[in-house]
Amino acid sequence: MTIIAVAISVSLLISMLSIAEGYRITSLRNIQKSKEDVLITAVGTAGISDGHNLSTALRNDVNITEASPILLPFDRVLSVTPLKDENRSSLVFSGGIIPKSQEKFLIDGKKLTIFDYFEVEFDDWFPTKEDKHFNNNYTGEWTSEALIDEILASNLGLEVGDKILISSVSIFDFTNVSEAHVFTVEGIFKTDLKGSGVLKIFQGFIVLHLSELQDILGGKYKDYDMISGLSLSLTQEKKGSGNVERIALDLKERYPYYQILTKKDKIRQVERETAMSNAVYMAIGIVALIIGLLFVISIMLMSIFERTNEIGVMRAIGISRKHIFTQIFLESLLIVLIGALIGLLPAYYGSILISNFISESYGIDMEFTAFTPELIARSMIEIVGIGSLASLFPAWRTMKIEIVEALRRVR
Amino acid sequence: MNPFRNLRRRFSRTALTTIGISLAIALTVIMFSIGEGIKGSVYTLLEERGIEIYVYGGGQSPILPGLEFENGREIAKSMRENNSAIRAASPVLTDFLYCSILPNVSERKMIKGISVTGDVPELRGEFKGIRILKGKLLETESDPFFANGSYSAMQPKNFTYEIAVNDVLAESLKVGLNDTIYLSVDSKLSNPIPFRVVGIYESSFESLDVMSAYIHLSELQYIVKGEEILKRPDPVNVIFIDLYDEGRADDVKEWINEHYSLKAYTYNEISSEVGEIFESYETFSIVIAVVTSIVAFLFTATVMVMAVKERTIEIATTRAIGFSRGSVFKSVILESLLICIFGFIIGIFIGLAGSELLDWYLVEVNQGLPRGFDFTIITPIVILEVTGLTVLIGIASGILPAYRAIKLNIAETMKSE
Repeated sequence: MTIIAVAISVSLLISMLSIAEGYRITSLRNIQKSKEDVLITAVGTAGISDGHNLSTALRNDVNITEASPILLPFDRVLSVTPLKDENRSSLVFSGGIIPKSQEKFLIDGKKLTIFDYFEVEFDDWFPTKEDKHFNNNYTGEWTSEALIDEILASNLGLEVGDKILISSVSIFDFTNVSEAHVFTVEGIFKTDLKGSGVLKIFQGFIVLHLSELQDILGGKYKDYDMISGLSLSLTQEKKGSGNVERIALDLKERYPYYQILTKKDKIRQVERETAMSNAVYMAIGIVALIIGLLFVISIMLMSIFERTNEIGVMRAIGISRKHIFTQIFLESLLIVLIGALIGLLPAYYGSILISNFISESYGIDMEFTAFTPELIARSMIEIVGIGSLASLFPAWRTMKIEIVEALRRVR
Repeated sequence: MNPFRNLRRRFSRTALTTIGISLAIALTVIMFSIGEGIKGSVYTLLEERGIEIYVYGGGQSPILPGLEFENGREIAKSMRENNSAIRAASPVLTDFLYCSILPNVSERKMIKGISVTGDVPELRGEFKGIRILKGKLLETESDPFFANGSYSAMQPKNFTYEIAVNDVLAESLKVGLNDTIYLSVDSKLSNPIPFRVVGIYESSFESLDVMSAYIHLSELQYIVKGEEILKRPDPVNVIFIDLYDEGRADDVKEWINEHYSLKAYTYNEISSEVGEIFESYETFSIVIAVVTSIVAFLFTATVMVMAVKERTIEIATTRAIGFSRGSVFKSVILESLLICIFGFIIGIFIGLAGSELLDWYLVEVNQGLPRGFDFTIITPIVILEVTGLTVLIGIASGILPAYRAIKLNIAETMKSE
């Protein structure tokens, strides 16, 4: 029973530690993978104005190969209705990009990580790469091309080639079609988002050409050419760390009212965010481990008491205190080790279970726990360390046993 | 067979077991308090606010941002006039703007992104969610820029230029009553519009990081939408409904959904929707509580089994002089229960402290939560649940050793020792 209790404690500890590691590792991996060297975003949530011109100006900078503007208005939704079935509609989040610029940031030609957190995979891309509608103050030609995500496609029964109505205001009846814009679905993309748990309200995501999204949203988005951020890719020679920091500093001086983030800054942000949550998970895990170890100490003390006579005899025939100390210490540590090793298996399955659970409840298809060899090694070292300290107490107690008293004790 | 004496005899063992149980109890208290905290906070905050129904421009969930809809005032007026249960219908638009104390600023730190709500004071009804610290939540009751159903000449100079800010924003910009702050749609403050601070409020709905302000509805509409409000007049995100009798909330909600192409939700629906989002925290905490309880049970049971084994002579003697199996059984169970009770008493105190700490941490980590939101609350229910669990562990861990104790063969036991 002691070993079982230790095993349970250990598996809880390791599961907790693996949650702490999981988010950190995934975020860091995504940051490293990304082709974005610098990200410019606005302070607060209101946006960066003059997006198109700003991206052109930055692209002309000798250090910058591409500056891709992105609009992700998370305080807005669009209404999407299939033309073939006007009784169904979904409210979706939207994104606006300039395909020609953004495609330079796709990994393996298809993937993009949004906010270094969840992944989007585009099988189909926009046929028209330029953002024509922006010309002449939003009077240029509409491409009317849209990319939608799997969830939206499945909710509304949409396929590539279908026509949809998009609007940013509540439409009372569809006879007034001038309020809504007709688009064609040019592709369906995959995301990690599952539409479960926290995101069960998530109805879908649609990506349009930047100026067309701005026009649909109207107001400040159109009047001020508002975007949410700019992804910058630097020239090959400038990708080294020292250069990136210098260019970022220069940008900060030019645009003091925006936030300039390099990969290093993002990493620091993730480390900061995870530090606190790691502390909580570790605390829970360590409390569980302490309970398990108190158990071991308790049992060892009882075991020593039972064997007082035996220990007395050993001392009487000449075995040193040190020898007995070592024996008890190792016995206790062995229980901890066996329990820990047994605990690894439930810890592994536990961590998968927790990952699936968090994934369901956050609605993102991702691994939230990291059961890595480093984690196991680290945990075992911690367990052995704390277990050793715990084992010292019962071992120390045996040293205090007087031979005569021990021999006198009758079982 | 005095349980107290038995526990005192092996003091270090009793102490260790008690500590182990107290840690398990403390962790369980903390975990259980998470569920109560979240449910309780959400419900209380929404109930206190005084808004019975929230009307959005469509939407499958009350917590997703909704579509904007036009002619907000007209619709609100129609609702009020056609349903006698409605005391007030307040059309509201919320958007994000930048603000600063100076019109021309190149220093990034001086510019703040803030959430701005536009409404019409005289249409507000009895909403209690906002506590005024100084001045008023807008002085002019009406919305002069949108008098008689149209935007007067589209000239900003017809604005009231009144603004009320929350205490966090006031503190951040170091402004007080009658000071001027500038609002602009973009972070470069290209068209800064001056507003006079007429009030400072502490809203129970602002998180410590989101700075917010109130201005008149039409003024916000103009700043955010520009010329477009002539084509698409009076856009709002939501209409807040205040009823004479909050018991009528469901009826009125149905009525609104029937008569208007909008989506209405009662505050009950919203609180249960929000509560569901935090279900994952609850489930997670219950799992942890269960696992640690199992460890505590194994701990106590093993200790008790060994305790009984140590005292076989004593138990046999007790039985020999006439004590019944029943009293021996009860004595062992009582001993086990006592250890758990001691652990419970210590554990409750540790749990209280730990729960406060966790609450503080979770609030820090989840920015954007309403102020006054507690993640952990220790309610009588939590105490009851933990007490029940303690008694269960105490009794359950005593059963096996108690059974072994009564199964002892008196003669054999006394002969073998």
